[in-house]
Amino acid sequence: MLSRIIGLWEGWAAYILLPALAVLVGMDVASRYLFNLPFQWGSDVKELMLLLVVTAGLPGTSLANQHIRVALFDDRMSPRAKNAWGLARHLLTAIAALFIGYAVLNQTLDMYRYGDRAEMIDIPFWPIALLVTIAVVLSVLAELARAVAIIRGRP
Amino acid sequence: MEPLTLGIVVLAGMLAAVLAGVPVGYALLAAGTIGYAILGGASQALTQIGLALWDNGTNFLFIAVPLFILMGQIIFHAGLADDIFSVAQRSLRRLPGGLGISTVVASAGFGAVTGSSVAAVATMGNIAVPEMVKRGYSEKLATGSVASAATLAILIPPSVPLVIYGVWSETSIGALFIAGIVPGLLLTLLFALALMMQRGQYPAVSGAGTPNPRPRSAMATGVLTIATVAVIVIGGIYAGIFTPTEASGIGVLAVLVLAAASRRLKLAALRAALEETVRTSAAIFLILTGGVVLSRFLVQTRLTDAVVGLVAGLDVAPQIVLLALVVVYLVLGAIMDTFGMLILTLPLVLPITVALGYDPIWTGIYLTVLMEIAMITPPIGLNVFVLERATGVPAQRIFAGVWPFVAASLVLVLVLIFFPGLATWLPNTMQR
Repeated sequence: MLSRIIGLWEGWAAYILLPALAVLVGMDVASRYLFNLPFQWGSDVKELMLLLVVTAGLPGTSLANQHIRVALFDDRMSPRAKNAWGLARHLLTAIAALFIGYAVLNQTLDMYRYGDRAEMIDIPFWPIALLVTIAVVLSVLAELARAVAIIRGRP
Repeated sequence: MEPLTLGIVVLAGMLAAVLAGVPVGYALLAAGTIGYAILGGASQALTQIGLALWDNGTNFLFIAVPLFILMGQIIFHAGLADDIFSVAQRSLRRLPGGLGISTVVASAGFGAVTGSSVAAVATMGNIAVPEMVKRGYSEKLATGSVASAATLAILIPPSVPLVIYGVWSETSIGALFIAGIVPGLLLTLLFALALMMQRGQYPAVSGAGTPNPRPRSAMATGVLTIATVAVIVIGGIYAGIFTPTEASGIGVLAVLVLAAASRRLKLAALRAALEETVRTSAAIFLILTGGVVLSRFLVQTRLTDAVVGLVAGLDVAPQIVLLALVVVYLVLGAIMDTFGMLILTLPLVLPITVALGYDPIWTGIYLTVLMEIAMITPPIGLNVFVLERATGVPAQRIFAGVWPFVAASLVLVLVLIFFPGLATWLPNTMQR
């Protein structure tokens, strides 16, 4: 269930947002050179799309255990010690992600309260920040899912 | 606790967490957050995380990272690198070690359209190693040359580590890209020489056999695609037509159009490229954000100033300090990946090189060369393990083959230290 939700979450960023970002960057250049009409709102929209792309990938990266990390001692541990440390590592990472989620949630509430918006186009920031919060919460769940998998003997 | 002592304790704790296997990005973020919480309270710590995440995630320059990764991924999944290898093989087969040199040249060419050496080693490993072994090259030389030549991808523009460096150090990414061209070409030449000098490891008879049965016109498609994209991206940046961010978008569209027109890109390959790009970008973004939080905290503790003051006060020539950095990066490279190494060291290394009188653009190139060496030296050597997975050749045998290429890279390190203009003159001629 969780992997399906994370797959969907990652999917909309990978199949829709990322290609759209590339097209927007390219079209903005073409419009500027060919018609002398750069998109005034282009930078704002591209930056917000970037934020969504890079954060939407976080839960899938956690679930697939693809975060960049040092695996120096992994092969030197006994299987039991490796599992115990794997469990501790995923729990520690989940706690770190939880703090990040709490920080972004606070930021979302502040943005909503103060009505923060993009400069050149009327886009409120709080829905974007909320999507980032959801991505981080999914990352917490992904790390916990990996911890549970270790407990069940399926690391 | 004194802020300086706190800075040292937090840094040590972060290194311990990283060595213990906690993801580098989360370890950096957690260390910076704990440090801020002790120094200025929990509220300040939470504010710093939120700000760093938002500011980095909406940094216009960072758009180039996912788009350059995507560009390389599309070329990789469309199999266009096969063609550049085949053409290099045809052209260079009369030279001693011609097939090996073709591999080095093809890696450099592939590097001109991808910013990631992992993509380069996975691609060239599958294409070049079986061919070299079949033609009588020792497995040691075949794999050692491929693992080493793939590192050219992060020096020859576009380069993802140079984008990260530029974002982090607020240095012109366009100038950094252009600065990588001459050292990248010189290293290509040094690698080719290193290969030619290993006479016992490749067949004495050159030019034997037919290089590739495919028609020239079919191979020309891939080469033309790669050459067109490289010219558009690098030429556009050099001529001041595009910023690197814009060049990344144009590059992706150009690759898509050319690969689709030549019917080399299947839907499944495109899906794989998009998924891989999102995950890789997320992992890099987390490290960058964590590094920003930690380095801001370290600046507040004045640890950065203390280290820079200590090094600047040493009664040794700047070149000695730079050579000492080689040792530091070799040690770090033994335990850490490129991005982790870059972000971890930048808060201290960049102020040191600037204090020694070196240009930040030069520093970016110098650090990239050091990272290249770290990617092929044991015990971690990321490229070696990717190649082991791609070819099935044991890592120990690949490591045994990289040393002549490490020596070639160290020659470039010395040239850069004593002739810094090698990296800085070309960017000085570009349109900005």
